[in-house]
Amino acid sequence: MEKQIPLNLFALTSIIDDLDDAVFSHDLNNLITSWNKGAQQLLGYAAAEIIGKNIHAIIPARLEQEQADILNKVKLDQFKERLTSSRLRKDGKEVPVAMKAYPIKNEAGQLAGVSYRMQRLGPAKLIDEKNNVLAAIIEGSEDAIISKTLDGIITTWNRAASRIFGYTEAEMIGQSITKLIPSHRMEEEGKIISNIRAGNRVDHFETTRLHKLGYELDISLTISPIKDLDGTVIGASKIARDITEEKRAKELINQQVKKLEILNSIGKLISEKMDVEFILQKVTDATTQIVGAAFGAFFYNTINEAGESFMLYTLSGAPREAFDKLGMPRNTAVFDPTFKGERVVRVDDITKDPRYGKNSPHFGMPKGHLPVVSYLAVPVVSTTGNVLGGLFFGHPEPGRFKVEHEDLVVSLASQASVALDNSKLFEEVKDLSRKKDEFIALATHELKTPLTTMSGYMQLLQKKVSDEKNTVFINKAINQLAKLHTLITDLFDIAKIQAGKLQLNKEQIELTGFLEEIIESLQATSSTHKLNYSYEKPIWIKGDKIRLEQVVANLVGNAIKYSPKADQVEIEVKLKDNEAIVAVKDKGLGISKENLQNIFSQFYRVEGVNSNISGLGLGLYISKEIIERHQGHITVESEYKQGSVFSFRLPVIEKEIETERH
Amino acid sequence: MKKNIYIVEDNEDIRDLIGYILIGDDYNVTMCPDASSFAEAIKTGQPDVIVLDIMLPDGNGIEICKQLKADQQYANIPVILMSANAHKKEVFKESHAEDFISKPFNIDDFQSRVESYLD
Repeated sequence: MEKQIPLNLFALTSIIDDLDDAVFSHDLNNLITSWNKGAQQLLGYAAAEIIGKNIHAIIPARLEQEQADILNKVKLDQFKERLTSSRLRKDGKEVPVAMKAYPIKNEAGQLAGVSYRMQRLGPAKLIDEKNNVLAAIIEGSEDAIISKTLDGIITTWNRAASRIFGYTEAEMIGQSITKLIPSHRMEEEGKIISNIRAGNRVDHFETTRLHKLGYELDISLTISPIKDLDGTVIGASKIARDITEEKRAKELINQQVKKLEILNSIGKLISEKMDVEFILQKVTDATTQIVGAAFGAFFYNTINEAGESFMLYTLSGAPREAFDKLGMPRNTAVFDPTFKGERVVRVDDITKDPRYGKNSPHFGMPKGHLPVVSYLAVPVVSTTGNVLGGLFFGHPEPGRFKVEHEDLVVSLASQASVALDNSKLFEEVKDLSRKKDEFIALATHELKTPLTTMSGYMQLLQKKVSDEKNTVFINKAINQLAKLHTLITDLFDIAKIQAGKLQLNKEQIELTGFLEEIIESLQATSSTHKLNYSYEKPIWIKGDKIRLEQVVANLVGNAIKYSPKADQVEIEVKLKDNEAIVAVKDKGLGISKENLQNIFSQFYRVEGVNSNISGLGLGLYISKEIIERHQGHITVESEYKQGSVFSFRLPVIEKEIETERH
Repeated sequence: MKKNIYIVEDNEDIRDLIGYILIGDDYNVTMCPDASSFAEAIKTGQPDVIVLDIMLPDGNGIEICKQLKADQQYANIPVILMSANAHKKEVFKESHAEDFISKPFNIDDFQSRVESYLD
């Protein structure tokens, strides 16, 4: 029997060694007595290094009470359950485990030690692999990944952390995180830690941290709490991204965006405005801002008798008085290339330039001149090649202006010169337009004077002639003169509309009464048609009486003219949706669909209806303009050979009580 | 006593036309071809109504009217402005003229308007 025992033991040992589980034991002195391969795998120690050592080497300090409890239970043979706990690995890390403990008894049946069977919690292999992957990710990360205790002691430090902050892992493990925090940001750490203690994450917190060499880095921090198995926060992991470059790029973009905005707004301004002084002031201000100059100016190229004077036109960044006493620049070696339009002059320090200080009387900048060191001068040349002047920039510090500034000013200068050319053209056009207005007024007068005489004498004749036949002749002449009058008036109205000079003199009008008067007087001129007028109740509008009368006369006149076989025209006023609707209905020729689209266009006449109906086709165009200038609409509905309805709508107003004037 | 009508109109044919319209023994018609002759005439005369063309070779009817209305001696004399530009009517109010006639005109309308200021 005795021989069998070692054999069995041997077999048992190899079986135990083959187990995936960790199996180990200790004696009553807590010294480890056995340690299988599974235990080595789980906790990192080889059997040779751990056997004979105290079991507490693998027990986290905080779990010592638990261990004592386990021992007590085992002694009383009461430890039956599977316990989940955690044990310390050789590398100091904790590993979650599930375990059972068994009493070891001697031959006398007395307790001689405790043996344990332990498994890693969860699929052990997978966790290991996961850990490996995680470790690889952390090491390979571009971002610094650091973990620390709640006291701020650094516990891990990856490769990127070394790269970003300049310290090696060995230098930093065990050190305080405050080593990385600039003195003026110390209070941040307290806030971060109190957040972490509360179990919160700190996300993308942008701040600065110190590099080993002492300079500050712009970084973005994400900090998460590290919890133990019980969920207690025991530390923090910190991901730090170096955003110095990102920030610099952002700032650069912001600067460029700002420049673009200035360029855009100035471009818009100078293309909209036609005022030379305004354009130049804006260009001077904007360019001075863009190049970051302390002061900028535009000088006009006004050649005097000596052929060499330049006039200060606009100034930015300095009061005009700063220039008053200095006299205007002359074509010295410094200024000459600008005013000749030859090239841009950009100098980091003009006072050290060989061209500088060569001319009497000042030999350099006159006393009291603005302190110019950095110098940039860009000629402004018109599209026709004339040098209009130059943009000059100065700054008291050297090396202020770079090639990109030069490019920007050159492009703005060319835009400005186009605008200046345009504004010159605009002034000419304005002058022409004024002349045209004068011509319209004069032509009206000149055409209407003979018309007044002719029509007046014809009316006198009409009174004196009693012969029926002659009366017919005179009436025909008077009618034709009236038509001539309408045509002339329409033509001048068109001219006014197109010149934007159709002026309205708006007043409050009670529409229904106003129309009644107009229709009465129109009825007097028509012997062929009866004008039937209907309305419901008074409606107040705001409008120009003369112009609205013109519209009504035009619509009623057309209704009569285009319904030669009918004998009635309906005029109806209605109130709908806060709009007054005036409809003029005839039972006439009507308008075909294709003609309807163009009916309100200038010079448009419905073709082929009746060659006896005269007119230039201006009336409806003028009416439409007048109604639209009253914030109204004019529309037509028509059926060919059935008749037409022309309607206009005008906004209704509340009648204001007019205050008496004393 | 006969009423005095002053006509200020630079066009001779129109002056004649108005002369024919207002012909009769009811009133005296004084014709002025320009602003300066009107200024002379008004110094000695006592117009009961003035018909004033706006576009005169040596002046503007609107301005002349404003001056008349600003002068206590003449402020009560009715003024009828006259223009070939119908839309001068838009500005006649500011001249404080009593009426406005656009050219060409209906001769009956002309006569009745002038006479309406003579009562």
